[in-house]
Amino acid sequence: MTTAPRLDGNAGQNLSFWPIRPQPRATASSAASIYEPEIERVRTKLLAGIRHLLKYPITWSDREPVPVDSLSVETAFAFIRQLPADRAFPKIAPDGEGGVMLVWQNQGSEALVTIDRTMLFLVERPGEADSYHFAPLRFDGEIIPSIILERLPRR
Amino acid sequence: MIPREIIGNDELLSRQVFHPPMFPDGVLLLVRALFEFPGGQCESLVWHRYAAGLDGIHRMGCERQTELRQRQLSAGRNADKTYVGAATARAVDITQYRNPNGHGFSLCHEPAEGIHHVHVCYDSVPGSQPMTRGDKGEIKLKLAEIFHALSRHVCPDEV
Repeated sequence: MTTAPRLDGNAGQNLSFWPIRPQPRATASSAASIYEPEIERVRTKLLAGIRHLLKYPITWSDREPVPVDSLSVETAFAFIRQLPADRAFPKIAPDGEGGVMLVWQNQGSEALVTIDRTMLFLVERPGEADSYHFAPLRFDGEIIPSIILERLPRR
Repeated sequence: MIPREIIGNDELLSRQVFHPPMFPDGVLLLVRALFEFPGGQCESLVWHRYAAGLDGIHRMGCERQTELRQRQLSAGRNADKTYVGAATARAVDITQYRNPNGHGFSLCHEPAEGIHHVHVCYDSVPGSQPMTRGDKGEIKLKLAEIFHALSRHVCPDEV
């Protein structure tokens, strides 16, 4: 038996006049677009630092550094670009397996996001006895998952 | 063959630290992670008991710097690998830490690589779930925190 395709009446319809539902709160991407020169200056430096990791991998040991994966770098880059202006910027480090670690060590509010290609691994209060690991989330490069954004320290 | 020894809780172990290549605004932007465990491999430490303390560890660090720079020159690169000092921790502080998922570190004497040589390796409580990248990131940062105090050292030009 075949099932006829379900039609919702919108096929071929011009939807340009369709009312847009107002957003109840600012999304990460729109919040990031608020321009504050000092914040954007730091953001630019951080983005340059992430790019630098790709071109010049670093290590603190006497061995050759492990290259950082280009997709992980692109994801980290997009994450920082989309980080709202009211959130603190993290420090960065290669994770030794091709990923990038974003580390917030603000007093009393700490978080770690490890980026492995397009996956984000959030740990709240890393290193503490009550640290909490969230299930990995995929980042589309556009909107930081709200479960992560809500747990990042504010500026 | 030199037998392996058990490393007592109060033994001191150092991580020799080499300065990363030039990094823009490194102090502001970089977390000093110190350990990488590439591909899950163990990382090297120096056992104070067999290294004549920090002076001996710095001397070995400078010798290693010389070797690495010669290797860089041979490969046609800038000879910029720089030993900057050693970060030290007590054995028990390394081995007693476990994150909430049961992951942490173990220590193993590796005298075949030099009597002073110790490996620090990933170690999990039996029955733990496999380590995620989040677990690895968390425990690496914790290890760097345990080794927080860096004894700085500047090598002489020629060793």
